[in-house]
Amino acid sequence: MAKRNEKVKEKKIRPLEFEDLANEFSGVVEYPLRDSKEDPLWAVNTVRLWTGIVLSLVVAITALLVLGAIYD
Amino acid sequence: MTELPFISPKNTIAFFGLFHTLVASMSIGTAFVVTVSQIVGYRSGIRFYDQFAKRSQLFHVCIYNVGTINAIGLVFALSGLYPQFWEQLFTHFFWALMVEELLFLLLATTLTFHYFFWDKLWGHKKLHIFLGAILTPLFILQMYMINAIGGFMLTPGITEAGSVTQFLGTLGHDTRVLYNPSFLMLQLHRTFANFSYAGFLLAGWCGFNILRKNTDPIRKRYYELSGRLAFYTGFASFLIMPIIGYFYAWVLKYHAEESFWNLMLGAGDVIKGGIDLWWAKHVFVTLMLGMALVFYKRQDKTTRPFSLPAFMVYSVAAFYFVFYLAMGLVMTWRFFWWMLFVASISGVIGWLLLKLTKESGKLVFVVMAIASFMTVFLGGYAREAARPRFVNRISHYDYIYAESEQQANTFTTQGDPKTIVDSPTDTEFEIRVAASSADGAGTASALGPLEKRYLPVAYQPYGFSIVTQLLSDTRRIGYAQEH
Amino acid sequence: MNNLPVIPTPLFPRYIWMEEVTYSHIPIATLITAFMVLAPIIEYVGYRKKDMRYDRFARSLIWFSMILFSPGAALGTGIPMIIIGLYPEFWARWAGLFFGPLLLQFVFFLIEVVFLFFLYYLVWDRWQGKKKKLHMWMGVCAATTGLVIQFVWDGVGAYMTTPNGVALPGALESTIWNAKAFFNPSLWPLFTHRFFGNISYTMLLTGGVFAMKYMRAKDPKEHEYFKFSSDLAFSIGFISFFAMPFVGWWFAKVYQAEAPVAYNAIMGGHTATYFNIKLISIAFFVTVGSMYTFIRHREKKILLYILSGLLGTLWIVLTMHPDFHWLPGGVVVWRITYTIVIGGFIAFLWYLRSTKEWSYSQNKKGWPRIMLVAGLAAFLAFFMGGNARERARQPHSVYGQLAKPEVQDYETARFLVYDKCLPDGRTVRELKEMDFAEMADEEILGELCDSDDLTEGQATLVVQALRGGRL
Repeated sequence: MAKRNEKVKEKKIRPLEFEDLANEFSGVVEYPLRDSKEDPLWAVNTVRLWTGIVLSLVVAITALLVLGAIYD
Repeated sequence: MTELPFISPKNTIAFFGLFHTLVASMSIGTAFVVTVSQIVGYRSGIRFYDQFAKRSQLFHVCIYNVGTINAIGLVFALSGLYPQFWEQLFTHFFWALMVEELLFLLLATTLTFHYFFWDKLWGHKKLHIFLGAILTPLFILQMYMINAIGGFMLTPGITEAGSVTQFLGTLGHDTRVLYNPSFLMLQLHRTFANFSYAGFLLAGWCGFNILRKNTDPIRKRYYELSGRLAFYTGFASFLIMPIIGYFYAWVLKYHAEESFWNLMLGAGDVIKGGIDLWWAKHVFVTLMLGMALVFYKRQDKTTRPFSLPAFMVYSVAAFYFVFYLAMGLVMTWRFFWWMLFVASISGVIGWLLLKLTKESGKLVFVVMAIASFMTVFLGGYAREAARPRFVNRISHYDYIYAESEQQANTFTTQGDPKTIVDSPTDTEFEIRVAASSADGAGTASALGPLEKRYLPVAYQPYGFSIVTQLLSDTRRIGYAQEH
Repeated sequence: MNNLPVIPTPLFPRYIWMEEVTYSHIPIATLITAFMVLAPIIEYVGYRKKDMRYDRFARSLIWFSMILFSPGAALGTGIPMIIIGLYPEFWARWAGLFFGPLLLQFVFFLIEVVFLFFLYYLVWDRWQGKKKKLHMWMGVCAATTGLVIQFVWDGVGAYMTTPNGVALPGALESTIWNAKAFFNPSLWPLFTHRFFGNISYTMLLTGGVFAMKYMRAKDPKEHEYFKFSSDLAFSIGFISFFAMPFVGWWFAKVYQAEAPVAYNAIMGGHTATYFNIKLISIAFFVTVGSMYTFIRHREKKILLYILSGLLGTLWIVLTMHPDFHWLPGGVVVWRITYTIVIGGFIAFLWYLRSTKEWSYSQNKKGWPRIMLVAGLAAFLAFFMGGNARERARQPHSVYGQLAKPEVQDYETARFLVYDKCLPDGRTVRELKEMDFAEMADEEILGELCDSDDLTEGQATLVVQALRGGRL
């Protein structure tokens, strides 16, 4: 698994059992990680903001449930 | 009272409830399988796991809406067919349901972002995977609320007649009924059942695609791998189920005895059309167990997407055996022998299917998907059917409420419209506010005409009510400035 | 009467929370409905013209509908939940009256999801060739289902203001179907009003957004596409607006006959401010839209003649309407003034057309911004319209039948004043201008109001309201 992780970081193909077919059908196996700067900034910021909102609300709701269980 | 011409009220609710549960459970489990698939794809560097996750998430987007629509159908059906029960339940769980509504919105939006921004976030793959991973705890929280309600209906946890009043504490919320005896077991049971159900169902979809004639060989190979991933995810969750089920049964025995014996002995609505549906559910469970164990055993270790220690698997299989042995003790020995027979036969069938397909899981996946669907369907039905029946649309636990709040007394008059319009200084609201006050004296008296309209009852520092107490002063100021 | 506690809410009164939850859903639902109606039509136009830009535009409408569908549906579930909890008696009785239609909504929603998701959106690429016509028909089916859903909601919602003589049943007396309650007088005007209104505001807003994208697009093809699509959307939104004054007139007539209190509330009463803001927003986007059309499409004379005619219809509506009393000199001065304003505006537009002033291509940053503001103004008009309609009925949840539990004295008084003290022709404004300090109570009640069936308490409230001026 450690070897595999290294190869993923190098962004190389990681065929598993069908190496002979992988070259012929390229584009199906490669994991196309790209540079983060190529992502549209508005989409990334939207997701970051939304993730922050969701996490805050999850913490808040969980806190309410715990407080309710203890004090009610 | 109303009923539809072609179906009885309880069957109407059963239809909506089951339809909703089948779709919503699939939704919840799919979110989990998608996350697992994305992580496996990221760590192994194999893109097809990510593509499988994306297609599954598209499926999820579609069925999420179907699940939402079914929920609304259920709400409307309950409003029309069981209005007294529904209003009482709603008043009791209002704030829990508001939190659930908020969670629905968070889920829908997160799901939408996760699917529709898939290609836009390749450079931020970890962020994208994390976004999808948030869905699972959100779903668990959302189920927390609805399972509290469902659990309360089965095990109210209160036996003393007339001891519950909804006029005390935080109006619209009661912690005792939220944390009822079977709520946690139902939560655990449904969480892992959903993961299992969706895992097997998605594996079945992969199996179906392998079986289709126009699928090319490379795609068949990918469906095989993705199917195995979904299958193992479902299988891992399936292994936890008997342990939860044992404790669930234990809770039922002590807090919902009538329901427990209805299930065990096959009484009331658990029998439908001459078939004991509890038995039928376990036929499918043991079918799944036998076939899954054989599939697990016969797969080469290198083809498993993640490891499941054999010791753990066979220990759980042994636990299943003991579990059914215990059920045989309680129910009838025939039950135990039948389940053992079904498990054995299904194991043999699984072995034959694997030989037939040259160790491809396609047929096993499809059979497991169907069995999993039937398990959820029958399990949900059996749980509701085991509960003591409503009489005249009134629940069996209604006696725990104070007399005026019982379902039979919920709506006293049919409401003479003119009196509501014509008596502004003596409105129902004022009467109820005065009655709502903990000391009965009516805390409204110390305040002016504007404030007394919206005055809540005397608050104590409870969980939800901490928030409302903090906010109540602000609220009063807001009202004074209104208009 | 309901024997369960009335649940108070933190921060804001209950009706504010109920209103906000409802309004969170409405813009999304109206947008999706309007987009579903337009997408197959635009797709068909593109199919006949063999212009893929139309296809792309239609597809983007549906793609956006797909994105909004899940959050919109989730918010939609919040509406019954909050009403059931906060207004249990109203819900039990109203949902009992409309049990059949509500259950049918479940069926229609399912059909809508099947058509929209599985038979229209997901197969768009695969069905481009021989199945294109079938694809468009699927779009028509999705749109029809969306409109049916809107129709049902309009029926059950319109009942709340024009109950058509059908009493709310008791909570335990639910019915499967009541045609008279469903097909109440304001159903058709509400549906028609919303049909054109949804298309108008959503397309104006979409046009504004696309205009901004046109302004920012660097790729020439994208630049060209957004120039096309912003014009198409904005034009559709603007032209479809012109049905609204007549539909609104029809709507007002129905309210005047069937729910006079709500009518008076909007026409000078406590809801007038919201209605006036709506009219100002409309005036803004009509001005912007007219100027845009005359400048952008200066070569299309027929279109400009049609638009001039449509602007002339505003003159017709103003002429049908009684004098606003904004100007001294009576009705003649008023009629001359608005004739000059409208006629002068049309003349100004033709003048703009003939000059090179404010050319669209030379003002690439100015026009997109103003179009977006016009789109937002249209959204504000839509928002204020719904607000005005719901507030006008207050404090009643069902007109003349059920008041909200937290009804206050002044609200009851106001309702009584609007109901009893405004005979044909008198307006709230006139009442407010009267001086009641010198008048005795009996005089007020005897001469100004129809006080025969008022109780003593009600009569006191009416007099207090008239004297205190809280109308």
